[in-house]
Amino acid sequence: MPVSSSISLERPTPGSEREEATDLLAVKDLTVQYCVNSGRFTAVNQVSFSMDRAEIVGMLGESGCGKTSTALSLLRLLPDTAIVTGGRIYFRKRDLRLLAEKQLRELRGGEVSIIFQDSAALNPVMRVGNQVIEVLRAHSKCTSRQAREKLHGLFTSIGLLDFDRIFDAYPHQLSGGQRQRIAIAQALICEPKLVIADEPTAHLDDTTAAEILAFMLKMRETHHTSFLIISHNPEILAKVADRMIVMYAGQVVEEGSAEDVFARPLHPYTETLLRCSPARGMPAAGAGGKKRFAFIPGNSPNPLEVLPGCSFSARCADRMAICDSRQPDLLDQCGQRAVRCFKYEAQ
Amino acid sequence: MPLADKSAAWPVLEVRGLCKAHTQGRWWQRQFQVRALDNIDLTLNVGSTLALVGESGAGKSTLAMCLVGLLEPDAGEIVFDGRRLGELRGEERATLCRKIQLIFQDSAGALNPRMSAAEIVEEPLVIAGEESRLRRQRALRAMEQVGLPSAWSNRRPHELSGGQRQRLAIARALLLEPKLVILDEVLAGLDLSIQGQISNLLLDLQSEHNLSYLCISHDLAHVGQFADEVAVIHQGKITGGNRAPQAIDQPRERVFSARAGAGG
Amino acid sequence: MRYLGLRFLQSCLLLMGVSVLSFLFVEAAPGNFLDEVRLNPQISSQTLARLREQYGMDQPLAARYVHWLHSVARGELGFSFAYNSPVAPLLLSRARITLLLTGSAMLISWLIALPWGIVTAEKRTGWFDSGSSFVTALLLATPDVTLALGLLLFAIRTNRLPAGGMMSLAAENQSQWLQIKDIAIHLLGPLLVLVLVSLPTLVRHIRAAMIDALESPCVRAARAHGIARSRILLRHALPMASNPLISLFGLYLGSLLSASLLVEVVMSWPGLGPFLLEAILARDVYVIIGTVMFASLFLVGGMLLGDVFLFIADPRIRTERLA
Repeated sequence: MPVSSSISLERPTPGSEREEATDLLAVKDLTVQYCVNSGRFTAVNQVSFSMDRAEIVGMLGESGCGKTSTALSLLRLLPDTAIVTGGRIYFRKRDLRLLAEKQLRELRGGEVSIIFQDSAALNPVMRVGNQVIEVLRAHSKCTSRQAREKLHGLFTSIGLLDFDRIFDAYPHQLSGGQRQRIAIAQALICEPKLVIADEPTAHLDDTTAAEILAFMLKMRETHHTSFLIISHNPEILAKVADRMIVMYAGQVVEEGSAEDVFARPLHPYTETLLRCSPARGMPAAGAGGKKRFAFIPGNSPNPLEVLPGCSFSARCADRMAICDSRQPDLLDQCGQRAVRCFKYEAQ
Repeated sequence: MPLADKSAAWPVLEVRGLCKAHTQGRWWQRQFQVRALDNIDLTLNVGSTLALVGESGAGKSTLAMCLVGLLEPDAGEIVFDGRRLGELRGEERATLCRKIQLIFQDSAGALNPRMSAAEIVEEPLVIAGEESRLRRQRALRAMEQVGLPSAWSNRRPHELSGGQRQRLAIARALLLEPKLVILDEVLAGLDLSIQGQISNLLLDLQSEHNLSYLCISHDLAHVGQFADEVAVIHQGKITGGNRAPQAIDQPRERVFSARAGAGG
Repeated sequence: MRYLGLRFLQSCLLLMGVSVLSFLFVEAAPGNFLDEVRLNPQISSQTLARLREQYGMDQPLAARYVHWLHSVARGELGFSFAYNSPVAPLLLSRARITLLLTGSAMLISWLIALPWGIVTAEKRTGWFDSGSSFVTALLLATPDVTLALGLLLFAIRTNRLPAGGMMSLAAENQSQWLQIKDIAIHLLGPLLVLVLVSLPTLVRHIRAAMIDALESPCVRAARAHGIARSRILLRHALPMASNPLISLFGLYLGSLLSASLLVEVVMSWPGLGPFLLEAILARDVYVIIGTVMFASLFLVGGMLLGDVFLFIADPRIRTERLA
């Protein structure tokens, strides 16, 4: 396949690192492995990325590609079966891997917070108002009256009206959209610098999802909060992300500005994935005039079977001989665009 | 079975004036009524797909449960295959209701984790009283139809991926040869590629068995391609009747157009 | 509310069923109270016949049952042949003594088991957990009779604990406070046995329920929000774990009258245990039935109380779900 001439990409020379214009988050060569009965497998394989202040980064990939593990490892929230075997995580120039548990606990929820999918985040036997105030109280000293007032303000801006009823309600008395907003309130009450959102709009209807995404944009404007939004649905990320990171089988396979990645996807996985989204149009009707939805042929890679070549080659339409012989490196274009594919390697 | 000629469309399902209310409130307080369904009118033609879209809590799942018989509506009638469901009782009603099947969203929750795949699929036949050798054959055939190799018949649900579990649920629903299949958010939570594969499977099965689908979803982009007609439900009411999928473009649209001859 | 009313009704029906069954079983057992008396050659057969009539033994079963019901309504719970008095006052005085033992045993075992269970759930690996697991398994495998006998042996050999009874003779005429101390010392032995017997089950249940709660996603979310570990344990995990524990508590409440019977007999604690044993051996039917009914009442009441606590404690049962 001819290499696209409009893109010039080089292999990073050893020693030259990505420009550190970032003062917020810098992840370098993060590797996470899980121990299972049949051995160990690598869920996150030398992942590097960085984030700036007031930036919204989208992390796209199918389930099992390592995006959640990456997010959890930032705050040392991985389950006991997981080990971080390599890499560095810098948050505002501090190496998070060196922090003691107590210091890390101050960071969690205070400067870096996570929004989980709603059903997972809330304690079913505790009133939701108390659950949010508890986060505030864990990081700052304030009276319960002050806390309640702050909460009132936050609830109104997220779109949770009827404050008194919601404050005293239990999670099962609220709708899915309201629960997700409570989870967001918990993450934002201490005004963190970085918010990691793991599938924030997964089970929500389009209206609520749109409102939540709009709220994130507003937080970015007013508080300069950065968001790392993890999703398997590109349409959500297309609406709000500034930059995109595409992951497959534990590796970063493409990176760039959101506009660029969506308009001209470089990696075959990104390309085929975007074609699967019905919002971007459907493939031509098959024989007999039947509608056909696009899909990526083949199966997700089994993390326990590590193949010598590129992990996507079995499903790739542009597969070449070299793709099965060794793993491609991440090619870089002045820190603006990156892709991990042999198609773009200069010969 | 030959493809049904869409021009000779007749309604396999008609819902007229369906109402269902829940009561809420603590036992020592005044109870107030929540109208989950308020005078619902729907028509679904044979062999076609009607999508029901709306926000969460608008009443979509309540409607699905009334259609399948899990909930008794307070008022209104459901006419399925030309017969009024409310008038039938006992054996007759059970036989007719078998032709309406429901596939849920949370497959992991909807499948018994202690049963093997084949046992899950053949369970409807166990309930219908079929003989065991025949049931197993039909179950395995249904699994093949949805793309699950029969070698997997002994796997448990937790050993299957989300997409595979949904296929299992579809195989189970197909076993009783239904005419109407209600798809309640069946693609939620699945990766895009898997969504595409399952959508294609559903379309193939529809044309092969002349199935009618009532597809409940809040993914408007998908619904726009998958469904033939769309009905919007908002706070228990259908607004605007059946429309072409292209007419629904934005999540925030609230176009109320009075449907001729009916309230709501 | 309706739910609780139904449960109450069910409990009443259950108690009636128990009373019928116990009547039938006691009748089915061979022998009756007068058998002993009959063996005595000095008592003539006329006296015997008169006694039989007096005690109502020649009446049909159903009639006797009805008479017994009347007696229950009067608050007497039948008549004891051996003690020649209505059953109720005898029962109550003995039941108080049993409750002293079991009540304190329950309190102490729960007070020990809760922190123990919580700590072993929190530190799931390491020597504390394995050690505790071994100890609980050992205690679980040892029957309560063995423990009681072992303790008796210890008491006799070392003379530190009294070997039985509730009070020593010398304490009869002493001050209130000294009497209480005396009872307490006598209580120690059977108390220790009961606590050791119930600890392993409790600790394992608490540990299992806490582990379940600690592995739930909302505890992970609470950690992610930076909430302190101790607060997560007590304000998040424990309330979530308490559903099965409250039901267990109800069960324990219910078995307050029945758990200690064997230990009481072995260690001569003058509660319901020895009383019931005597009555069984002597075929004092109404005492047997009365005691069984009383214990069943406690059992059913305890479980009902457990359900009430559950209703209060778990908001998911108490409040309506959103439609």
